[in-house]
Amino acid sequence: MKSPGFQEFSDRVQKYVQLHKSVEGTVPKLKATNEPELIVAHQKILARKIKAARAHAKRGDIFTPAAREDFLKAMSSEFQGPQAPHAKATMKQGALLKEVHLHVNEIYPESIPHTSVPPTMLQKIPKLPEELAYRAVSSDLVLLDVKANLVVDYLPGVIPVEATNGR
Amino acid sequence: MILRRRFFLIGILLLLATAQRADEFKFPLKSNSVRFAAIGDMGTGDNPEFETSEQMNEQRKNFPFDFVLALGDNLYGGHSPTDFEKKFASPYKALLDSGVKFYAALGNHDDASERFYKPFNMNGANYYSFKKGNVHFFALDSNYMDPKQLEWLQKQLESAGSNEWKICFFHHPLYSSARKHGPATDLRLLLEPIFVKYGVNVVFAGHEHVYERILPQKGIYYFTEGSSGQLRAGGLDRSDITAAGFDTDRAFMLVEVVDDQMYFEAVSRTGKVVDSGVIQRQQAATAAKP
Repeated sequence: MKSPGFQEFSDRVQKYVQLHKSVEGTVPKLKATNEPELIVAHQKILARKIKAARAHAKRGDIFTPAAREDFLKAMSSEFQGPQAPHAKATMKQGALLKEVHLHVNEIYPESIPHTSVPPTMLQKIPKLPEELAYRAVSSDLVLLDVKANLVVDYLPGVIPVEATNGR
Repeated sequence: MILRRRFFLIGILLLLATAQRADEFKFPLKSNSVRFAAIGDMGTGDNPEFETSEQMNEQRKNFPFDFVLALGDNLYGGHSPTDFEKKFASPYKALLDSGVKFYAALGNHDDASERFYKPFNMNGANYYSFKKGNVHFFALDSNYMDPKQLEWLQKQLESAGSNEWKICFFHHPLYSSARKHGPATDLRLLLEPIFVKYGVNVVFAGHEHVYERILPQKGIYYFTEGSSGQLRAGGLDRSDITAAGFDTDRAFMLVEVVDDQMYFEAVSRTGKVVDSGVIQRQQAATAAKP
């Protein structure tokens, strides 16, 4: 039984995935190929179409206020409980060299590494369908469309600052 | 002064002994063996990557390996078609042209779209498995160890044969003495019990831009090879779990599995063998013999 915030989040995720799938259905299916041009073009077209379909997307559409509360609780327990040293060690793996500012419905910057959300944390927060993944960027929790490489939404400041020190 | 001279002599003797052991080490090169190379953190497109791949070609003349495990960070920075060419297809052209297959895992600098790049043999999947002879390989996505992937891994390991080698490879090392990132201990909490339960023999990782062999941990052998393009010179703080290490030049690994033995070498960009040994399958308590 999910908490109301996580349930709301999962419902919004489902709606997003429906939109993603309907857009993806209009793009030729990508298969393994020797031609990187096809891979890059597929990602770009998909991103462009999803961006257009969500032209008015804004922060908080999916990470709703209720969801934020539940994620904050989960993060807080992860970074303050017995798992904390391990979770902090994961955050150090990302090694971001500079402050990054993300924008909803924009491409995830290719210049920054894909930082991991502590894997023990991934076992405690809502599971995501294959189209989406969580990323931790600075102190923000990001919802990424992995096929389109788009920032779907993000929760600013939910990862404790001390965990991101030393990147 | 006398004490210092004694230490010096002991040092020289140890060096000679190590050199002798390296000279004595020989791959069996059995006709039915599984032979492969392992590289990590290579996708820079810079000269050292090219020079390391040239050395791999050179080594292949005497050690004809059939495939390469790519341990992540296959393409740094951009992911344009030019990047695929400059950072992978071009440096490894000779190997690719001679039919060597690459099996890639995703690193933190990789874009998920690499899954669809045929030469990486990922077939669109973040994680996958394949078999070669008596070895079952499991490529994991350590960027995103969600419940779905863990469940998949357990099922795959469960269905693997008990007489097979089980080798996992992914980007973030569970054990490491390198000072930049250190071990991914959170990931270790999830993966190690599974590895132990299902009898994983060997794990290859990258991420730290050094070479390191770890003393067996709970019976499992861990290698970090993250210096096939990148290098963090002097980045290894040898610790009590370090069996061997190399952090002064780029490197790659060569491996041959013959029945229950796994022979390995770590080779530098200049062709120097910096580590070698033999691992006995499921001899958890025994350290690798140089």
